[in-house]
Amino acid sequence: MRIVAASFVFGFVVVGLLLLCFAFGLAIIADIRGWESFSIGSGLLTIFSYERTPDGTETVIGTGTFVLALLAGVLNAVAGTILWSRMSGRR
Amino acid sequence: MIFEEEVPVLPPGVLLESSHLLDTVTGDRVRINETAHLMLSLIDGRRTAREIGEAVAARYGLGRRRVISDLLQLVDRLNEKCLLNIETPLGKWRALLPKVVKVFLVNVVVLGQIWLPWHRKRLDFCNASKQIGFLSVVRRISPSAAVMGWMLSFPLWLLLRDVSPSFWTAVVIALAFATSLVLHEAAHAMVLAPVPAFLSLYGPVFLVGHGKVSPGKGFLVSAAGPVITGASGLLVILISGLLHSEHLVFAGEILSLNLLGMTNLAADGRKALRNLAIVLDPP
Repeated sequence: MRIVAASFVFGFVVVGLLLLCFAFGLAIIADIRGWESFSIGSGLLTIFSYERTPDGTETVIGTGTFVLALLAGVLNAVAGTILWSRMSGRR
Repeated sequence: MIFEEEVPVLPPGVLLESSHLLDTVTGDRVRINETAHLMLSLIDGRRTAREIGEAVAARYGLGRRRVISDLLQLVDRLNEKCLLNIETPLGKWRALLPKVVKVFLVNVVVLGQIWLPWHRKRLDFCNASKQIGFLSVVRRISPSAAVMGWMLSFPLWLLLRDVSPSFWTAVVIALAFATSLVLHEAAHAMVLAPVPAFLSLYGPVFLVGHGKVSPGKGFLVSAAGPVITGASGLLVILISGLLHSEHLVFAGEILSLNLLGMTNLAADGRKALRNLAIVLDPP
Protein backbone atom coordinates (compact mmCIF):
# COMPACT_ATOMS: atom_id res chain seq x y z
CA MET A 1 0.00 0.00 0.00
CA ARG A 2 2.84 2.37 0.89
CA ILE A 3 4.44 1.71 -2.49
CA VAL A 4 1.21 2.59 -4.28
CA ALA A 5 0.98 5.80 -2.22
CA ALA A 6 4.64 6.64 -2.96
CA SER A 7 4.07 6.04 -6.69
CA PHE A 8 1.02 8.27 -6.61
CA VAL A 9 2.93 11.06 -4.85
CA PHE A 10 5.86 10.82 -7.30
CA GLY A 11 3.55 11.00 -10.33
CA PHE A 12 1.41 13.78 -8.87
CA VAL A 13 4.31 15.98 -7.73
CA VAL A 14 6.41 15.50 -10.89
CA VAL A 15 3.62 16.23 -13.37
CA GLY A 16 2.24 19.04 -11.18
CA LEU A 17 5.66 20.71 -11.04
CA LEU A 18 6.23 20.25 -14.77
CA LEU A 19 2.87 21.80 -15.62
CA LEU A 20 3.63 24.75 -13.34
CA CYS A 21 7.02 25.17 -15.04
CA PHE A 22 5.39 24.96 -18.45
CA ALA A 23 2.78 27.58 -17.47
CA PHE A 24 5.37 29.91 -15.98
CA GLY A 25 7.63 29.58 -19.03
CA LEU A 26 4.73 30.14 -21.41
CA ALA A 27 3.71 33.27 -19.52
CA ILE A 28 7.25 34.65 -19.79
CA ILE A 29 7.40 33.96 -23.55
CA ALA A 30 3.90 35.45 -24.06
CA ASP A 31 5.01 38.59 -22.18
CA ILE A 32 8.23 38.96 -24.16
CA ARG A 33 6.55 38.34 -27.52
CA GLY A 34 3.49 40.45 -26.69
CA TRP A 35 0.99 37.67 -27.44
CA GLU A 36 -2.75 38.35 -27.22
CA SER A 37 -5.05 36.57 -24.71
CA PHE A 38 -5.28 32.78 -25.02
CA SER A 39 -5.99 29.76 -22.90
CA ILE A 40 -5.26 26.04 -22.87
CA GLY A 41 -8.27 23.91 -21.86
CA SER A 42 -11.66 25.29 -20.94
CA GLY A 43 -14.05 25.52 -17.99
CA LEU A 44 -13.03 23.37 -15.04
CA LEU A 45 -10.32 21.78 -17.17
CA THR A 46 -8.49 25.03 -17.90
CA ILE A 47 -4.79 24.34 -17.55
CA PHE A 48 -3.48 27.78 -18.37
CA SER A 49 -5.01 31.09 -19.27
CA TYR A 50 -3.16 34.23 -20.34
CA GLU A 51 -5.03 37.49 -20.59
CA ARG A 52 -3.81 40.83 -21.88
CA THR A 53 -5.71 43.66 -20.20
CA PRO A 54 -5.34 47.45 -20.59
CA ASP A 55 -3.53 47.50 -17.21
CA GLY A 56 -1.10 44.69 -17.98
CA THR A 57 -1.27 40.91 -18.20
CA GLU A 58 -2.88 38.21 -16.08
CA THR A 59 -1.87 34.55 -15.95
CA VAL A 60 -4.13 31.92 -14.39
CA ILE A 61 -3.06 28.35 -13.68
CA GLY A 62 -6.39 26.54 -13.76
CA THR A 63 -7.82 23.50 -12.02
CA GLY A 64 -6.96 21.49 -15.16
CA THR A 65 -3.37 21.46 -13.90
CA PHE A 66 -4.50 19.80 -10.67
CA VAL A 67 -6.70 17.31 -12.56
CA LEU A 68 -3.86 16.36 -14.94
CA ALA A 69 -1.42 15.95 -12.05
CA LEU A 70 -4.00 13.79 -10.26
CA LEU A 71 -4.42 11.65 -13.37
CA ALA A 72 -0.64 11.28 -13.69
CA GLY A 73 -0.48 10.26 -10.01
CA VAL A 74 -3.14 7.60 -10.55
CA LEU A 75 -1.42 6.24 -13.68
CA ASN A 76 1.92 6.15 -11.89
CA ALA A 77 0.30 4.37 -8.93
CA VAL A 78 -1.15 1.74 -11.30
CA ALA A 79 2.28 1.26 -12.89
CA GLY A 80 3.82 1.07 -9.40
CA THR A 81 1.29 -1.59 -8.36
CA ILE A 82 2.13 -3.72 -11.41
CA LEU A 83 5.86 -3.30 -10.74
CA TRP A 84 5.39 -4.13 -7.07
CA SER A 85 3.31 -7.26 -7.74
CA ARG A 86 5.93 -8.52 -10.23
CA MET A 87 8.68 -7.82 -7.71
CA SER A 88 6.80 -9.57 -4.88
CA GLY A 89 6.28 -12.57 -7.17
CA ARG A 90 10.01 -12.77 -7.77
CA ARG A 91 10.89 -12.43 -4.05
CA MET B 1 27.47 -6.01 -34.44
CA ILE B 2 31.27 -6.00 -34.40
CA PHE B 3 33.39 -5.92 -37.54
CA GLU B 4 36.78 -7.54 -38.14
CA GLU B 5 38.45 -4.17 -38.65
CA GLU B 6 37.52 -2.94 -35.18
CA VAL B 7 39.86 -3.04 -32.21
CA PRO B 8 38.73 -4.63 -28.92
CA VAL B 9 40.11 -2.91 -25.81
CA LEU B 10 39.93 -4.07 -22.19
CA PRO B 11 38.74 -1.16 -19.97
CA PRO B 12 41.00 -0.32 -17.00
CA GLY B 13 38.44 -1.66 -14.50
CA VAL B 14 38.36 -5.12 -16.08
CA LEU B 15 41.07 -7.69 -15.30
CA LEU B 16 41.80 -10.82 -17.29
CA GLU B 17 42.49 -13.69 -14.90
CA SER B 18 43.30 -17.31 -15.71
CA SER B 19 39.74 -18.65 -15.83
CA HIS B 20 37.58 -15.54 -15.74
CA LEU B 21 37.21 -11.83 -16.42
CA LEU B 22 36.92 -9.78 -13.24
CA ASP B 23 35.00 -6.51 -13.13
CA THR B 24 36.82 -4.70 -10.31
CA VAL B 25 34.00 -2.12 -10.01
CA THR B 26 30.96 -4.40 -9.66
CA GLY B 27 32.84 -7.48 -8.45
CA ASP B 28 31.24 -9.58 -11.23
CA ARG B 29 33.19 -12.53 -12.60
CA VAL B 30 32.59 -14.02 -16.03
CA ARG B 31 33.99 -17.53 -16.61
CA ILE B 32 35.95 -18.00 -19.82
CA ASN B 33 37.48 -21.07 -21.44
CA GLU B 34 41.07 -21.54 -22.55
CA THR B 35 40.49 -20.35 -26.13
CA ALA B 36 38.62 -17.25 -24.97
CA HIS B 37 41.47 -16.56 -22.53
CA LEU B 38 43.99 -16.77 -25.36
CA MET B 39 41.85 -14.47 -27.53
CA LEU B 40 41.48 -11.91 -24.73
CA SER B 41 45.15 -12.09 -23.76
CA LEU B 42 46.06 -10.96 -27.29
CA ILE B 43 44.07 -7.74 -26.85
CA ASP B 44 46.56 -4.89 -26.64
CA GLY B 45 44.51 -1.93 -27.86
CA ARG B 46 46.21 -2.00 -31.30
CA ARG B 47 45.39 -5.40 -32.83
CA THR B 48 42.15 -5.61 -34.77
CA ALA B 49 39.69 -8.47 -34.20
CA ARG B 50 40.88 -10.00 -37.49
CA GLU B 51 44.54 -9.98 -36.41
CA ILE B 52 43.69 -11.57 -33.06
CA GLY B 53 41.53 -14.20 -34.76
CA GLU B 54 44.28 -15.02 -37.26
CA ALA B 55 46.85 -15.39 -34.46
CA VAL B 56 44.58 -17.78 -32.53
CA ALA B 57 43.73 -19.76 -35.69
CA ALA B 58 47.45 -20.18 -36.43
CA ARG B 59 48.15 -21.31 -32.85
CA TYR B 60 45.44 -24.00 -32.86
CA GLY B 61 45.58 -24.85 -36.58
CA LEU B 62 41.89 -23.97 -37.02
CA GLY B 63 40.00 -22.34 -39.88
CA ARG B 64 40.61 -18.58 -39.88
CA ARG B 65 37.00 -17.62 -40.68
CA ARG B 66 35.53 -19.77 -37.90
CA VAL B 67 37.89 -18.43 -35.24
CA ILE B 68 37.25 -14.80 -36.26
CA SER B 69 33.50 -15.44 -36.17
CA ASP B 70 33.77 -16.95 -32.65
CA LEU B 71 35.92 -14.03 -31.53
CA LEU B 72 33.42 -11.48 -32.86
CA GLN B 73 30.61 -13.23 -30.96
CA LEU B 74 32.67 -13.24 -27.76
CA VAL B 75 33.59 -9.55 -28.16
CA ASP B 76 29.94 -8.68 -28.85
CA ARG B 77 28.73 -10.48 -25.71
CA LEU B 78 31.43 -8.96 -23.48
CA ASN B 79 30.70 -5.50 -24.91
CA GLU B 80 27.03 -5.92 -23.94
CA LYS B 81 28.15 -6.64 -20.37
CA CYS B 82 30.39 -3.53 -20.36
CA LEU B 83 33.50 -5.73 -19.99
CA LEU B 84 35.09 -4.82 -23.31
CA ASN B 85 35.27 -1.63 -25.36
CA ILE B 86 35.47 -1.53 -29.13
CA GLU B 87 37.44 1.17 -30.89
CA THR B 88 37.36 2.01 -34.57
CA PRO B 89 40.64 3.63 -35.70
CA LEU B 90 40.13 6.54 -38.10
CA GLY B 91 42.16 4.79 -40.81
CA LYS B 92 39.80 1.80 -40.79
CA TRP B 93 36.65 3.77 -41.54
CA ARG B 94 37.18 3.62 -45.32
CA ALA B 95 37.06 -0.18 -45.26
CA LEU B 96 34.33 -0.27 -42.63
CA LEU B 97 31.83 2.18 -44.07
CA PRO B 98 30.58 0.00 -46.98
CA LYS B 99 30.08 -2.89 -44.52
CA VAL B 100 28.13 -0.67 -42.10
CA VAL B 101 25.92 0.58 -44.95
CA LYS B 102 25.35 -3.00 -46.18
CA VAL B 103 24.39 -4.25 -42.70
CA PHE B 104 22.10 -1.25 -42.24
CA LEU B 105 20.35 -1.88 -45.57
CA VAL B 106 19.93 -5.61 -44.93
CA ASN B 107 18.78 -5.33 -41.30
CA VAL B 108 16.74 -2.15 -41.28
CA VAL B 109 15.46 -1.74 -44.84
CA VAL B 110 15.05 -5.37 -45.95
CA LEU B 111 14.37 -7.26 -42.69
CA GLY B 112 12.76 -4.35 -40.84
CA GLN B 113 14.81 -5.02 -37.69
CA ILE B 114 16.14 -2.45 -35.29
CA TRP B 115 19.89 -2.10 -35.75
CA LEU B 116 21.89 0.51 -33.91
CA PRO B 117 25.26 1.47 -35.42
CA TRP B 118 27.08 1.99 -32.11
CA HIS B 119 28.72 -0.07 -29.38
CA ARG B 120 28.54 0.17 -25.64
CA LYS B 121 31.46 2.17 -24.28
CA ARG B 122 32.66 1.82 -20.73
CA LEU B 123 34.43 4.80 -19.16
CA ASP B 124 36.00 4.10 -15.79
CA PHE B 125 36.28 7.12 -13.53
CA CYS B 126 37.49 7.94 -10.03
CA ASN B 127 34.65 8.18 -7.53
CA ALA B 128 36.67 8.53 -4.33
CA SER B 129 34.66 11.49 -3.02
CA LYS B 130 31.52 13.42 -3.99
CA GLN B 131 33.50 16.27 -5.52
CA ILE B 132 35.95 14.04 -7.39
CA GLY B 133 33.12 11.81 -8.67
CA PHE B 134 31.10 14.80 -9.88
CA LEU B 135 34.05 16.42 -11.66
CA SER B 136 35.26 13.12 -13.15
CA VAL B 137 31.88 12.48 -14.74
CA VAL B 138 31.71 16.04 -16.07
CA ARG B 139 35.16 15.63 -17.61
CA ARG B 140 34.50 12.18 -19.07
CA ILE B 141 31.13 12.74 -20.73
CA SER B 142 31.07 16.44 -21.61
CA PRO B 143 32.35 15.95 -25.21
CA SER B 144 29.81 13.17 -25.97
CA ALA B 145 27.05 15.16 -24.27
CA ALA B 146 27.91 18.24 -26.35
CA VAL B 147 27.62 16.22 -29.58
CA MET B 148 24.35 14.69 -28.38
CA GLY B 149 23.05 18.12 -27.40
CA TRP B 150 23.63 19.49 -30.91
CA MET B 151 22.02 16.44 -32.51
CA LEU B 152 18.90 16.89 -30.40
CA SER B 153 18.78 20.66 -30.62
CA PHE B 154 18.45 21.01 -34.40
CA PRO B 155 15.19 19.05 -34.83
CA LEU B 156 13.71 20.81 -31.79
CA TRP B 157 14.80 24.22 -33.05
CA LEU B 158 13.16 23.49 -36.41
CA LEU B 159 9.93 22.71 -34.53
CA LEU B 160 10.19 25.89 -32.44
CA ARG B 161 11.30 28.15 -35.31
CA ASP B 162 7.94 29.93 -35.46
CA VAL B 163 8.13 30.79 -31.76
CA SER B 164 11.82 31.63 -31.57
CA PRO B 165 13.65 31.84 -34.91
CA SER B 166 16.93 33.11 -33.43
CA PHE B 167 19.94 30.81 -33.90
CA TRP B 168 20.77 31.46 -30.24
CA THR B 169 17.73 29.35 -29.37
CA ALA B 170 19.42 26.36 -31.06
CA VAL B 171 22.64 27.09 -29.15
CA VAL B 172 20.83 27.35 -25.81
CA ILE B 173 18.81 24.18 -26.45
CA ALA B 174 22.02 22.27 -27.34
CA LEU B 175 23.73 23.55 -24.19
CA ALA B 176 20.70 22.69 -22.08
CA PHE B 177 20.55 19.12 -23.43
CA ALA B 178 24.29 18.66 -22.87
CA THR B 179 24.09 20.11 -19.33
CA SER B 180 21.07 17.94 -18.61
CA LEU B 181 22.90 14.74 -19.64
CA VAL B 182 26.08 15.62 -17.74
CA LEU B 183 24.40 16.95 -14.58
CA HIS B 184 22.08 13.93 -14.41
CA GLU B 185 24.91 11.36 -14.43
CA ALA B 186 27.22 13.52 -12.29
CA ALA B 187 24.48 13.74 -9.65
CA HIS B 188 24.15 9.94 -9.61
CA ALA B 189 27.94 9.58 -9.20
CA MET B 190 28.10 12.28 -6.51
CA VAL B 191 25.53 10.55 -4.31
CA LEU B 192 27.09 7.14 -5.01
CA ALA B 193 30.60 8.24 -3.85
CA PRO B 194 32.81 6.73 -2.47
CA VAL B 195 31.47 3.52 -4.07
CA PRO B 196 33.48 2.72 -7.25
CA ALA B 197 31.53 3.23 -10.47
CA PHE B 198 31.86 3.43 -14.24
CA LEU B 199 29.95 5.17 -16.99
CA SER B 200 28.34 3.23 -19.78
CA LEU B 201 27.65 5.10 -23.01
CA TYR B 202 25.32 3.46 -25.51
CA GLY B 203 24.57 5.97 -28.25
CA PRO B 204 22.42 8.65 -26.60
CA VAL B 205 21.96 6.59 -23.41
CA PHE B 206 24.31 7.33 -20.50
CA LEU B 207 24.30 5.08 -17.42
CA VAL B 208 26.28 4.85 -14.19
CA GLY B 209 27.23 1.25 -13.37
CA HIS B 210 28.22 0.22 -9.86
CA GLY B 211 28.37 -2.70 -7.44
CA LYS B 212 25.80 -3.54 -4.80
CA VAL B 213 24.73 -0.77 -2.40
CA SER B 214 22.14 -0.74 0.39
CA PRO B 215 18.51 -0.19 -0.73
CA GLY B 216 18.44 3.19 1.05
CA LYS B 217 21.52 4.37 -0.79
CA GLY B 218 20.20 2.79 -4.00
CA PHE B 219 17.06 4.89 -3.69
CA LEU B 220 19.06 8.09 -3.15
CA VAL B 221 21.39 7.31 -6.07
CA SER B 222 18.47 6.63 -8.44
CA ALA B 223 16.58 9.73 -7.34
CA ALA B 224 19.60 12.07 -7.37
CA GLY B 225 19.90 12.32 -11.18
CA PRO B 226 16.33 13.31 -11.99
CA VAL B 227 15.74 15.38 -8.84
CA ILE B 228 18.94 17.46 -8.84
CA THR B 229 18.77 18.13 -12.60
CA GLY B 230 15.01 18.80 -12.49
CA ALA B 231 15.38 21.15 -9.52
CA SER B 232 18.12 23.07 -11.34
CA GLY B 233 15.66 23.43 -14.23
CA LEU B 234 13.05 24.95 -11.89
CA LEU B 235 15.69 27.41 -10.68
CA VAL B 236 16.61 28.37 -14.26
CA ILE B 237 12.94 29.02 -15.07
CA LEU B 238 12.61 31.27 -12.01
CA ILE B 239 15.75 33.15 -13.07
CA SER B 240 14.38 33.46 -16.63
CA GLY B 241 11.36 35.27 -15.13
CA LEU B 242 13.63 37.71 -13.33
CA LEU B 243 15.84 38.29 -16.38
CA HIS B 244 12.95 38.20 -18.84
CA SER B 245 14.87 35.81 -21.10
CA GLU B 246 13.03 33.38 -23.36
CA HIS B 247 16.25 31.47 -24.07
CA LEU B 248 16.56 30.63 -20.40
CA VAL B 249 12.92 29.47 -20.44
CA PHE B 250 13.80 26.83 -23.05
CA ALA B 251 16.89 25.77 -21.08
CA GLY B 252 14.90 25.55 -17.85
CA GLU B 253 12.12 23.51 -19.45
CA ILE B 254 14.61 20.99 -20.88
CA LEU B 255 16.37 20.61 -17.52
CA SER B 256 13.12 20.33 -15.58
CA LEU B 257 11.90 17.51 -17.87
CA ASN B 258 14.41 15.36 -15.97
CA LEU B 259 11.85 15.21 -13.18
CA LEU B 260 9.95 12.69 -15.32
CA GLY B 261 12.79 10.33 -14.38
CA MET B 262 11.09 9.92 -10.99
CA THR B 263 8.00 8.33 -12.53
CA ASN B 264 7.67 4.67 -13.43
CA LEU B 265 8.11 5.60 -17.09
CA ALA B 266 11.85 5.88 -16.55
CA ALA B 267 14.44 3.32 -15.44
CA ASP B 268 15.60 5.64 -12.63
CA GLY B 269 12.06 5.94 -11.29
CA ARG B 270 11.49 2.17 -11.36
CA LYS B 271 14.84 1.56 -9.66
CA ALA B 272 14.05 4.17 -7.01
CA LEU B 273 10.65 2.58 -6.36
CA ARG B 274 12.14 -0.93 -6.15
CA ASN B 275 14.69 0.25 -3.58
CA LEU B 276 12.04 2.18 -1.67
CA ALA B 277 9.88 -0.96 -1.56
CA ILE B 278 12.76 -2.89 0.03
CA VAL B 279 13.39 -0.08 2.53
CA LEU B 280 9.70 0.11 3.52
CA ASP B 281 9.10 -3.64 3.51
CA PRO B 282 12.39 -5.51 4.07
CA PRO B 283 12.35 -9.16 2.90
